[in-house]
Amino acid sequence: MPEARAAVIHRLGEAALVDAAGVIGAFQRMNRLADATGLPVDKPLAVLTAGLDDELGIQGFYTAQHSKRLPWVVRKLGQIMRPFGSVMMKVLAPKNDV
Amino acid sequence: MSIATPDHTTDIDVRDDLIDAHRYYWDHLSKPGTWWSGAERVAIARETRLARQCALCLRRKAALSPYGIDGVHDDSGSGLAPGVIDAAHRIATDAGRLTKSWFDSVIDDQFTDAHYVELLGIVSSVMSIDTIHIILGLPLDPLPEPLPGEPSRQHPAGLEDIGGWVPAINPSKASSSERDLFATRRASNVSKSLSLVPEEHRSMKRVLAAQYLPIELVPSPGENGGRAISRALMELVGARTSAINECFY
Repeated sequence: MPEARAAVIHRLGEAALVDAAGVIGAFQRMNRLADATGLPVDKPLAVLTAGLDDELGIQGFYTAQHSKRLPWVVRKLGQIMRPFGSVMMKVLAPKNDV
Repeated sequence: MSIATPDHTTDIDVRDDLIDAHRYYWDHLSKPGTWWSGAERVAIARETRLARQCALCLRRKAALSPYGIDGVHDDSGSGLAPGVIDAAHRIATDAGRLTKSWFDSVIDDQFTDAHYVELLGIVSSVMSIDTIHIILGLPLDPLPEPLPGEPSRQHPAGLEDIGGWVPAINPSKASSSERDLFATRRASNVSKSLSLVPEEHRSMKRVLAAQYLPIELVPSPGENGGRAISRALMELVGARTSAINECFY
């Protein structure tokens, strides 16, 4: 860990190390909130990210069982819409999202 | 604030808002909660830390399935019920392999879904704060002395099934006393996950804003909240963390 810490400080600076550590800490929390309550992925986000789960190989994660696999047609639609993902995300994602 | 690491590799300059948020959390932890006393809340936090070295948790983590490994957890002698200790240890060390049948097996009249949600808020908070300390090479904050008093035992209104194991508040049905939990009438599932215990939800929002981003900035992909790394890098770090934890959500 000291070597990794020193490398991040050397390349990105101390503030970046602190902020990256903060993000990792936050996701340690959010991962547990989702997994320990069996939460399914929100439907709008599931559509917009359809197909990415296969590409990333995360359908094999145990926690994928919490979310229903979308029908083929919806997954295809999601893939077509992906280039517009960041715009669609702003429109469809809950305004209060984490 | 500059803090020297124990291995003397560097003095880390930690943002004051992050230090303040963590101090706020330890103060929050020490007080009687909604379903647990202050002493029980601090005991759950102690179990969360102990889980990292618990021999049973290590054996389960290494096993193909954690449910084939029986045994007794290393515990701190807190007097917490075995099911409560099991929940704290499993959420801390192997949350990605929890099942609905396991959840149903630990929940009963004494350890209700609301107790579980408050416990989850504590375990996930301690994990998040301790992780940051470990990464920065800083000593862990000492756990607070618990304050006396009784839990408030208040159930919020406007609960609904959101497809997970515990109910959550529907933001559009929140009562006036819980309307502050959500900025709008729409919220993601994970942002509602602690709302069965509104005080835990509030503390999560407060600490998350300093560790990651204020919730209202999250949907804007260009917003990094003034952090020293870009939003794209923040999301990459978060995604890598989730992949290591095998979190599909």
